[in-house]
Amino acid sequence: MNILAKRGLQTSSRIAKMRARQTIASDRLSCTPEEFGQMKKELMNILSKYLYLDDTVTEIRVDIVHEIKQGVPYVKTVQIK
Amino acid sequence: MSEVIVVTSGKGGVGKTTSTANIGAGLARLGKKVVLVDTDIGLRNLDVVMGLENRIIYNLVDVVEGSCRLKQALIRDRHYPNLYLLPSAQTRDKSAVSPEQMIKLSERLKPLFDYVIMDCPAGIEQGFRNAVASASRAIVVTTPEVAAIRDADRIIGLLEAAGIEKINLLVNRLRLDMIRRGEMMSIEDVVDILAVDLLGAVPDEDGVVIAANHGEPVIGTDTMASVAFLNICRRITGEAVPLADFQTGSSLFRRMAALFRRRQGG
Repeated sequence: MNILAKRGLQTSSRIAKMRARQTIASDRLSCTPEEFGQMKKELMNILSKYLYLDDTVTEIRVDIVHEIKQGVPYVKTVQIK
Repeated sequence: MSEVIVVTSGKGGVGKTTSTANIGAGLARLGKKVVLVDTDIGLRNLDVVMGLENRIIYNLVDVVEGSCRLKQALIRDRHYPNLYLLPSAQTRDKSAVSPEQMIKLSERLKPLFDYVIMDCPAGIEQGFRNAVASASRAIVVTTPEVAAIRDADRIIGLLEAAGIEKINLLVNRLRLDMIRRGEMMSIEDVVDILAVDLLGAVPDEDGVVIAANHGEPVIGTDTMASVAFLNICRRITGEAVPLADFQTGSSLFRRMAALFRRRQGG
């Protein structure tokens, strides 16, 4: 519901910013959005071998940090679950 | 102490050449001795933007190949006596000059000028490598569009790899009315994504096109872009000029924005 409400308010500048972020993340990590999806699936498979993942696990975050010389470190968060 | 600055962007058509011409004019206005080098061999256009297209006799390739003396190829600007252009060759291609030759050329220009500004061609091939070879500072021009930002990010990576210490961002073609409506990324959005120091932002104004039509700099005209470019030039010289907050901004900005709206409405 909340997401839908947010979608309704989504301005084209927000969409542009999100798209710019995604493309740059893909470029910097040399990883396509499809590969991100694949990575998520595979990570889930591996984790479920060792952990019992049911509905009580609400969030798994993997931060891939790419240090760049200028400015702030760039972090791409992959939301697995 | 002279500085070699490259104006680059990756993507074409974001306003590199117009920015170069106006930064040159602005620095000259501040009393600096400036030479603008058009490194876009085969597709020269800085001369046209500056209105000097009819004065070219020798060009960059002639100087590099030793077909003429350096001073024979330098063209003095029509408005600013301490601003010069070293035009590019129209009938050659990028391979006519090597990065090593560009470094040598810069060494010859540096004693004569306070600022040597290289107008870089679009792309990341030899033309880019030539333009960047001797630079110690880079101005990355981008617009608030996804494609331009993506290319700017790529270029920033390449500039860092080339060992350029100072990399600054110039956000061009801001439409203040669209930003207010949330239909265009703001300066903050762009800086947030690219994470480099902001040198300045230039609004998209009719005056910029009109000035280019006449082959004159927008600097000195009664426009926000003129103010923006002058501020950029003062920051280049090391002066701490506060960034005019275009969106939430000062009363001066609001007055300018009102003017802008009126013009837009016709």
